[in-house]
Amino acid sequence: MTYSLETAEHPERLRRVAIDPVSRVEGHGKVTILLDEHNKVHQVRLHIVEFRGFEKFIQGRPYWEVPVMVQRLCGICPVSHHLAASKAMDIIVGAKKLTPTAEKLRRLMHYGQMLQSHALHFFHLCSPDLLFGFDSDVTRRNIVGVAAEHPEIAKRGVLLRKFGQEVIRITSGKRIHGTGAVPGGMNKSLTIAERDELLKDIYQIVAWSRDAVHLIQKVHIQDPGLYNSFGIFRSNFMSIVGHNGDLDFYHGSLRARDDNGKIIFDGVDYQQYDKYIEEEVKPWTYMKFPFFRSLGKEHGWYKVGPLARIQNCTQISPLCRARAQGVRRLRRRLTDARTARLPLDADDRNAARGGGNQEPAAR
Amino acid sequence: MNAPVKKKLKVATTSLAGCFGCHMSFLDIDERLFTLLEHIEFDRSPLTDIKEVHPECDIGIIEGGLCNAENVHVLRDFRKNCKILIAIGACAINGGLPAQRNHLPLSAILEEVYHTSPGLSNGLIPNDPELPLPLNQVHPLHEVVKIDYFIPGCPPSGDAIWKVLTDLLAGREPELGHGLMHYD
Ligand code: SF4
Repeated sequence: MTYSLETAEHPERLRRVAIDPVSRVEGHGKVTILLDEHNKVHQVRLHIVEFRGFEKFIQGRPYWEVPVMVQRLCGICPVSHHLAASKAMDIIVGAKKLTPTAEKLRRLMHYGQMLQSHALHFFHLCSPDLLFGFDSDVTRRNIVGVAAEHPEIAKRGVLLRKFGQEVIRITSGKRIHGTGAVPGGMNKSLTIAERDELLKDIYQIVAWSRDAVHLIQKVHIQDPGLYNSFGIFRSNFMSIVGHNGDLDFYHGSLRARDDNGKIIFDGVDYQQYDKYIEEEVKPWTYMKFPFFRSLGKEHGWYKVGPLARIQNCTQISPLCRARAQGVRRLRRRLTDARTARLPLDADDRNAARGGGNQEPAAR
Repeated sequence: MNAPVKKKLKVATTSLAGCFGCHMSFLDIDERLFTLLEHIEFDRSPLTDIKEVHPECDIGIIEGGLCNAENVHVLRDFRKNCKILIAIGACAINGGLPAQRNHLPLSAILEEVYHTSPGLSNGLIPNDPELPLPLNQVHPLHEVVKIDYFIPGCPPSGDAIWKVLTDLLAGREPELGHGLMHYD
């Protein structure tokens, strides 16, 4: 990792600019930037300012409370924490395999989570920047501004999120902080009426999701210079991958690649995570800094999340594949693929080099 | 004759020691958000990039209790600038889940999380002046400022939040009827 901007040599001589609080993101943070008299940046830090101590206070509680406690880490992605804790508790109670129904319901619950959280991120939080520009008027640059000028886009965002939340409610009992998953399985079934209620809208939801991909393609085409470089940084990445390296949101083994797409480790049982990952503490944030033990803290840091999952997996569903292909074609039309590093590039390069025995992802 | 256009009420929201679940529940009013936007405008909120509460803000909605000095500062600022202040959710009302740490000494928790827990390559307790000082215990909002209304729940449902806001907009005393008042 380039640490050059982490700590300035003489902070006392520099001017401080703060973005406090950081808004339109999921979490509590602030950014501080130190500049010299020529406005040259010497230090940039993202401070996670909140400390709560879940690690400690869940100790000693009844084990079955943990899935409902830890989801309160985050009310935006509660299901992910709920399921992670439930999976840990499955192991504790010796439930090596869930019933097929329980696993499907948990998966469905997490798909609802993925949908609502991505809708929130894309429409409610990011779309104002994409539609109005980063420097547009602050009173307009939010979902209210989008609702005023692009009512159809705002409406779809709200309805996509709503559908995801309904999937969660139906599988877990509540839209936020439900209690569906329990150690060893699920405590709620999906009735036929509930299933039909979801089926009624699903094709509309898929169509709108596709339109959202078109929207981002359109925005991209309008300013390729900006979007080909914005926010791009090379890194290792890690995610779980499912059976045969498929994209999977619920279960699988750990796979990590370097910034050229080369496998660092693969097929690792997540219960062994601590053999592969270590964490560093820094004085200026409550967040810890995980890194791959094998590469050390300077070079071992990595991306996780949606980009990492997409770049890391061997294959995804035919529908997503078609979308991803569209994005690639678009990028090729716009620029030289080697200079523009968009998501999925690592796999492109991997494939170009023969990619070992890895299938190129998301072809 | 057209009725004079009513000025939109300014609504500020913030998350202190909360999980954003109460904010998400606010968004769970779904399409009713657009109806609401005919009557209100958002001021400082995680949904906007406005960082300071307007000095004549009509309604302030606060999620989360107080776990650090910065939370107290933001709460006082909301009270100073908002005509009506609403505590939303268990955390704001009684500290909620984060208050589970109240029976433990703060130093022991920090020590364990940042020093002795497994998997750390180094041990130190974050102490940069940019980090707000944690309070010894997590406190509810009403211990520090006057709160006008409380909406219980973890989180309260979108329907409960909608009910309170529409009551306020109509000039009625907010009331949570059957099914809207719950504590889980
Ligand atoms: S009351 Fe519940 S939903 Fe609201 S912030 Fe606290 S933990 Fe989250």
